[in-house]
Amino acid sequence: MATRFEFLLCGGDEGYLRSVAEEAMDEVERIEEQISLFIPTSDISRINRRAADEAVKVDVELFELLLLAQRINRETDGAFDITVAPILDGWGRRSGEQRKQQTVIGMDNVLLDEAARTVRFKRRGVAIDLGGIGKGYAIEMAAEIVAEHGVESALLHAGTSTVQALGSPPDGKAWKVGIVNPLSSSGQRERAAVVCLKDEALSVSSPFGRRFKVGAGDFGHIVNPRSGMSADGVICAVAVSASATRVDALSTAFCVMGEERTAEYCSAHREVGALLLLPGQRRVRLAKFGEIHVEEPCGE
Amino acid sequence: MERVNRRAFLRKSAAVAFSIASVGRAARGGESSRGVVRCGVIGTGTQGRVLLSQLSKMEGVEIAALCDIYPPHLKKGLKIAGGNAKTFTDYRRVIEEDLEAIIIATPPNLHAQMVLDALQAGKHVFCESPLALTVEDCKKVAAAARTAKTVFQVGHQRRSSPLYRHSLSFVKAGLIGDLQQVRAQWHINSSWRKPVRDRRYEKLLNWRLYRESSGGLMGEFGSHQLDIGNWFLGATPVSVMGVGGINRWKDGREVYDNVQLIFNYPNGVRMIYSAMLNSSFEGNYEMFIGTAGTILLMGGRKGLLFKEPDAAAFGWEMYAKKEKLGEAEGILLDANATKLEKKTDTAVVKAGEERADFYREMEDFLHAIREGKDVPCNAEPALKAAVACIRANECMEKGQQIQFAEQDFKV
Repeated sequence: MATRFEFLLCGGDEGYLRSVAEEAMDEVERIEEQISLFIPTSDISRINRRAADEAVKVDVELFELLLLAQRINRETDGAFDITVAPILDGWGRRSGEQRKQQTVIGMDNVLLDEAARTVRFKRRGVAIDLGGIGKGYAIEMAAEIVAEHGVESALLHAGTSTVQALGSPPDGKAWKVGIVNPLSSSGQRERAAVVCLKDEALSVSSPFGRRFKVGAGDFGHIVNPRSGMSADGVICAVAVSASATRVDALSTAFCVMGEERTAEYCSAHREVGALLLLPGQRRVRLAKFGEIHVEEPCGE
Repeated sequence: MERVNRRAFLRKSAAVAFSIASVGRAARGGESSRGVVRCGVIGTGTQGRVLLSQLSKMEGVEIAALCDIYPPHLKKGLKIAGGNAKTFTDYRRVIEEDLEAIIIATPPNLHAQMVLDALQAGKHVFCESPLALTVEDCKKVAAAARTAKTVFQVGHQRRSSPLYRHSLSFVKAGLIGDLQQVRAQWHINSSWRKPVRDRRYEKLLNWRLYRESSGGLMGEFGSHQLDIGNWFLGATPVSVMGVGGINRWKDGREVYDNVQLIFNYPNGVRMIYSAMLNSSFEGNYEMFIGTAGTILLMGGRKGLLFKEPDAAAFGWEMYAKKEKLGEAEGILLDANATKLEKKTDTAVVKAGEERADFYREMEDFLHAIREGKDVPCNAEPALKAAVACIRANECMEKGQQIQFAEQDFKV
């Protein structure tokens, strides 16, 4: 996942907390070995190599994660899609093939056989990348271990983009997570809002986080799976719910879905809240939907 | 005592290979009545679940029984197995089940009796490393495995690694000249402590920290790397000296958190070994230093060959990928792509698809059961590695060099 994970555990004996954190960190490493696109021996690498030729059997855990990715894909009307890897790969290494790549994008190219617990691609060229959901899944599984060992106050994050809060901090009612405006100059790191979390997860995505230059163009790394083009309408999307896995996927999807569809999603899924940073006339404009507790909104 | 120069090494390797093949024939599977191998896993802690996960990805395997005395581990194991397995807390009940294969991933002090009972019941057995915690137990297991009609494999997963096999073929072919030294280390930054709230479970869950149930760093890490050293050198050590201590984790544990040892092999060749829980710098690796070059194998993921300036050029060298390590440039050892020179009589090493070594070792176990293939690591090399580690612990405890007796490594 090529991401830095940090866990903050509070209360009780330091040695005990460290042992809990180590077990949680081992869990992250285990999941990375299984789903990383960058590890040739991972199950995802194997699926991408073979699933166009044959059905690839996977373990229960990965199959359930793929089913969840498929479900979120349907719920978001295709805005979250684990098959966008070929487009990202194209932007990273070669341009001008997006039209051809579009035929291999879409979850309908991925056949999940529940009885056989196998994955099969409909056509050659399809590839899956759990980069948009894997960090959240690893954080959620790590948080499960932390909770299982009786730690009631903790904050776990992956690369500062996906956070899971357990309970509240020892000196406050909720964990406060600052949302930085990605368009602010790197020296200033202007805070656009603070989101309060208690037994909730938060994820933030922005097309301005990582960008590619292709010819004269400048593209964000979040792709609209339908058009194959960079989704640049939202400056930054924040998703909040109980599950880090789900919010990791949804924050990416909200960038693609934009204001109206994000609002619709949150009203249909009451357990999910969202905060969008949108282009305003002078500063960013904030749009808040569903269950999300925002302090200090600093936008227009 | 035999010299470990290249010529002698090749002779020795051939002898070892022959003896493995002979035992392999005696302990071979070759049939599975139903086509599906019904497996039971005893011990569903961290390592047991790693193996379970591999098995659950394979066709023709049914995980039919799970056993653990700690209910949360059993529950996690059941989730991986897919929910249809029977669960037990007494391993003897698992052995009584209608199963072809038993996988043992318990603390090592429990290995010997479980293996003996499972082999006695006519099961194919895979047992995690180290083989056992005493020389006597290692020998009992090795003797039983030798006479068993079923497959017995020990979990030295690097034996299933194409990278390691490929690198060994380089060494055997003399491409790094005469082996002078092996260096190996396994350094991590970890307390090795499992979280335990109820003190009744302390020794059960933190078995790695107590001498009655653990060989410490030598048992958990050293046994794997000593096996690799023995395998590549085609020899066993003649003596060992070293020190160990608890420098960081003074929390009531009995096993060292750092060890440094020198294993002397025939002909003055040495294996210099270090393991610790106190720093992760440089992680884990094995390095084979020869007169013409050095092979560095880093945690099973990557291998590099560094040639001496006066070593002969290889025909394929110009096509090979290179990678810098500090000032030195190494040739990337790729078991899938590299072509050896014809004179080595191994034209192309085909490793097949990249898979995790834990997957491969389970696959090798199943191939041995179904097709009667030799296992990558049977009881005898596992005994040699385990005994070397047991003696190494004794040497550190006594603070004096220990000579290995010829009988130490014999079944």
